[in-house]
Amino acid sequence: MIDIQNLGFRYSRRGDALFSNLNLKLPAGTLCGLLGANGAGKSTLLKLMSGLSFPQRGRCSVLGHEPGQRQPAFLSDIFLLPEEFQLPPLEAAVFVERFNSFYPRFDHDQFNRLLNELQIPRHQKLNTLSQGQKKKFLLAFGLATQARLMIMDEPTNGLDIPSKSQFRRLLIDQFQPERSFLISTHQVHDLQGLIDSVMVLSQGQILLHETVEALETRLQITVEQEEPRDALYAEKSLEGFKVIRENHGGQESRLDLELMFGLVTTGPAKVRELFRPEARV
Amino acid sequence: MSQTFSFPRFRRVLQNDVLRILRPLMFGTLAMLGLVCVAYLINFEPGRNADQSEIGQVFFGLMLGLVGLLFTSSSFNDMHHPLERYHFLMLPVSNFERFLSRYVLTGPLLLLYVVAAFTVMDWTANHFASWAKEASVPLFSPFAPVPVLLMKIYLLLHTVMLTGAICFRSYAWMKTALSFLLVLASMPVVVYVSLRIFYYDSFSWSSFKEVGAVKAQLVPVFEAHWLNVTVVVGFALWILYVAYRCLRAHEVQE
Repeated sequence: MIDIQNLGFRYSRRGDALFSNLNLKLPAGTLCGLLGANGAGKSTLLKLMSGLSFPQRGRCSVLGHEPGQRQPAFLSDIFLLPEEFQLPPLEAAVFVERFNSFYPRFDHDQFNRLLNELQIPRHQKLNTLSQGQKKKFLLAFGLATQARLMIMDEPTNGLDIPSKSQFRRLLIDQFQPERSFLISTHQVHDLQGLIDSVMVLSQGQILLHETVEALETRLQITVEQEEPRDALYAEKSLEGFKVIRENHGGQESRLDLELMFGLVTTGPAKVRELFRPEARV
Repeated sequence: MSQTFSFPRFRRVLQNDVLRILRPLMFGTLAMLGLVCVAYLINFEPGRNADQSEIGQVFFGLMLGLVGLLFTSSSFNDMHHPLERYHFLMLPVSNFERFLSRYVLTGPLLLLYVVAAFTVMDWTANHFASWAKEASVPLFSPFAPVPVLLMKIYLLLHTVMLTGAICFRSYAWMKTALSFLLVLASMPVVVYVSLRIFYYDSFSWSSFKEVGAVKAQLVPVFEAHWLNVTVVVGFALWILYVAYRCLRAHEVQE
């Protein structure tokens, strides 16, 4: 579905390269979380995948298209939910009437169902909705387009607590084997229990790209009272120390995305060693 | 379905673009109608009707030049706007359809609209003035030589302004006008330098005074009307091509 090879990108000719040799493969039917610190290049990577920015080097293929060409067939099969955006001063029904025909598989029934479920006012101008409501509206529209790839940049920013759980439920409901969701966020708790794979972006590289299942199998998370010396990563918390160790005993352990992100960014070498193909055997 | 141009897709995107500007256009037209009525009323003086037949042409030129070009300069604002650009750039239409839709909207369609609207405005204002002051002038004729020339000039300047609207992220009107003036001002310099290079032995080094016969005559070539038209149309097409390339290469940079 997404195949990026040796991608190089910089914003200005004199500036540092944001990506110098980025490689990434994302198969169809995944619900992937893209994590990274501020300035790691998450939003830029999403723009490169959506055809909003162009790579200066390497190859970027999404759904078999080169995104930078912005071909209608590609754009109707991908939907980007940006972090911040503005909607036109139209009612929901008018918006849909004007733009649904650009998406050949647009599902009106599903859209209406989603509008009801998300409690979006139908007769209010979209530009007057709150940021959270705008986001929910665009999410409903995006899901109804039946786009095979849905890219979301900080989708839960601006959503209230009930809306966040609604968001998680909707994505799980809409998940299909031929459809993928790529979610970039800082709010790792919002992705907990939702995603099936994790990608961590740092220093222009994908430091980690693994399924949640693999992470839960290879890593064990415990809470200990003393700071351990032999742990892969430990973080102080109210209960003591949250610790990540290599899972030798095969015990079941629930992935803590925030802790795992700390491990990947502070000890990328350890993670690389742990998840190299030979180490899995 | 072609990935570069499909008529149903183009029709939809053009229709959306028209609907987007319909409301401001209506308000603008009404405001302009009021302005024209007031201007006619002030300028019409009983007994001096014949002198003021050009008032319609002046207002028509102003409408095209100011309103048309200002509108053109803002036609790609949504592409540059940090919050609106996603919708514009991610809509499933080709770059060519995006470009053509805005070109047709701000060029030929707007021109037709201004011609039709101004003809009605002139008729209304004329009748209003003749009722109020018992004075009238010949009605505006869009097919008279001056309006036709104004339309041609508009279509040429429109291509330049459209290119500026795509290439400049902010203050497109001002930046395009300044760039255009700079190009215009540099043309005599280019001609002067070219003459000094190609006919270096025909002029003295210190002044532009002829010291020998210029070996070639350029002027007669441009006396042929068809050649002038070809050059101007070719220039406009080249500018439009540059504009399209700019749109195709447009990316979100921050």
